[in-house]
Amino acid sequence: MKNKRLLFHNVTKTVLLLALSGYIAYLVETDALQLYIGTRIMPLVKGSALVLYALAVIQGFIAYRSYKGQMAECDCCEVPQTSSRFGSGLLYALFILPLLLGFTLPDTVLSGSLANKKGMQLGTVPLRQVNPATSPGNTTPGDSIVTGALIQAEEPDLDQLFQADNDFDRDLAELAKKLYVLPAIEVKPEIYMEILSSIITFADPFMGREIEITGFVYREPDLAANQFVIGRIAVQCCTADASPYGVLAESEKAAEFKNDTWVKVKGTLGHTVYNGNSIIKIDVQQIEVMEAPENPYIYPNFEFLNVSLP
Amino acid sequence: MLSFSLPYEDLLTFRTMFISIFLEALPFILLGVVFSALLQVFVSEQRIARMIPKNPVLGVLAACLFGILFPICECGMIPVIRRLIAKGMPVYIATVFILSGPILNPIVFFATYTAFRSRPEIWASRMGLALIIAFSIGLIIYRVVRYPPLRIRAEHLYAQENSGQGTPHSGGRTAKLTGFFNHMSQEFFEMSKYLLLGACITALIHTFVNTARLSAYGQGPLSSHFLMAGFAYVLSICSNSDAFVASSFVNVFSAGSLITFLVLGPMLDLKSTLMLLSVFKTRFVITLGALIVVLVLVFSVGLDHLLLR
Repeated sequence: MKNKRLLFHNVTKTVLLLALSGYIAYLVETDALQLYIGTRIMPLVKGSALVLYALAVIQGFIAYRSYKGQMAECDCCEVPQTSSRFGSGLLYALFILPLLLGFTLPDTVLSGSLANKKGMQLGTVPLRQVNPATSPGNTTPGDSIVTGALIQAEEPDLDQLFQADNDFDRDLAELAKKLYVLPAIEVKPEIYMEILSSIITFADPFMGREIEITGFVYREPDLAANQFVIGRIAVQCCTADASPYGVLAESEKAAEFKNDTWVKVKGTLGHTVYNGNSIIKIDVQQIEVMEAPENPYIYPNFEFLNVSLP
Repeated sequence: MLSFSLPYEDLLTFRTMFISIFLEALPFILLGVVFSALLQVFVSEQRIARMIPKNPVLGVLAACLFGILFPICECGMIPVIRRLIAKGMPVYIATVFILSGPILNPIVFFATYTAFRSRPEIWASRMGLALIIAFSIGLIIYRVVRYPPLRIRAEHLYAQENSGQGTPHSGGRTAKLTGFFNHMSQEFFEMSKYLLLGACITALIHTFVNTARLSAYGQGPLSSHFLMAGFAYVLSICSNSDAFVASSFVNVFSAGSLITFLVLGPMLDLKSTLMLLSVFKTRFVITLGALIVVLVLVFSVGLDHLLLR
């Protein structure tokens, strides 16, 4: 009787370990692992699959031995198994649940409904005292285009334009200088958050500049009919830390694009007031529907200055 | 405004969250289990006894800095400290490991530093408060807890190894090796049980609780702290990445309440409570939890009002 139970436990554990390591391999094989795990943790998870596989093999060997009756005498193996039949049943059920969900239901990309729960982060332009010496003229958007075009060729003015008072802002200022000399700013997915932070931190010089960005369409309930948000979900380790980031867009054709549609937008940068905060926005000139990208999430990139632009 | 989403959509979100949280914790659990097995083989009780300073204050202080050598978050910590307690480490020292390890370590420091590079007061307060609180709780546990807090008696926990040379595995090296791996996989399953339960509840919370709507209370002098403490507890975000989430709250919540979030979360959250229950008696877990909540709130509200406002 005791033998049979031991055999049952050993066989079940072997199967569960195999299934779990198989599931991770399946996710890697179908390129779906990135929908669950941030790039930084990915090698660790792949390594776990190997460890689990090794454990499964050993567990299988133990199961075989207990089938042969060789392990039956070892009462030490019973001791940590304090759980009752109900307890171990619960354990196996808990193990089977993610595997069952994983194998039977389709992989999904977190987007609008998550943004709704977590609250979309729209780039709030920090209210800082604009220093008349460093700001290019009176900053109405129209003026900045003109001054921007004039200054563009001269290096020293760039340094004046993007002044930073701490290390992080200094890095963002470096990025801002690189972005500023481009004819049009393409918000690359590799450094999506960094490009947006850079624009938000030094908002004024970028007003009226051309920008190209991709993301899913998202709407807050209080947006005007011609407004929507172009959003992305940022992930660091796993989706528990997923945070939605986005930019407000304005377009006459806004109504044609349903929520959670992936779009590629070209337009010019401007700013507006939303919920009492000054935020950046894009006046859309061109918008097209696109397929969801292979890796829909964005990641914080600590070496953002090494990414080539455009 | 209420958002309407189909139950099927919620199921898919739950599925993504559940699998994601479990997969993310998996390498750390395995690392903890392997490390615990290695400790069993290579580190003797005597060596551990020699390594711990006799003076409790020194012992607690040394334990606070253990995380610098062993940068692993809460999931990996539990099997390791269970093994260490079984090998005779005092419970107050082990408790300090659990509290300080997930915060006072280089990986978490780097993550917090990058998330708050422009706000040095936040990462500095996080590290400082974690040290003070882990230290205080260590000493309190040393003075107050007078009962054996382990759920299972230590000598039963690893019966085979503790029974000395005349083991039931007298069948030679192969039997010993299979015994070793058998225990490793057993420990893995035991830890996973609590982790999976925690991941399941956490995923439900991520799927159904609307954190965006609660942010209206983000600036209150006390309400913001309570709210962030609650978030930290139920969201159970790994300490490697919680700074990143906190930084997304930066415009909505006061800096002081972010510190509450960053200090409380790694010390105590839903997932780790369940894992603590796998090692300690319920009574001990409740005592420890209450100590953590009270001390974190007192220190962080105090800091907020004295220095940050």
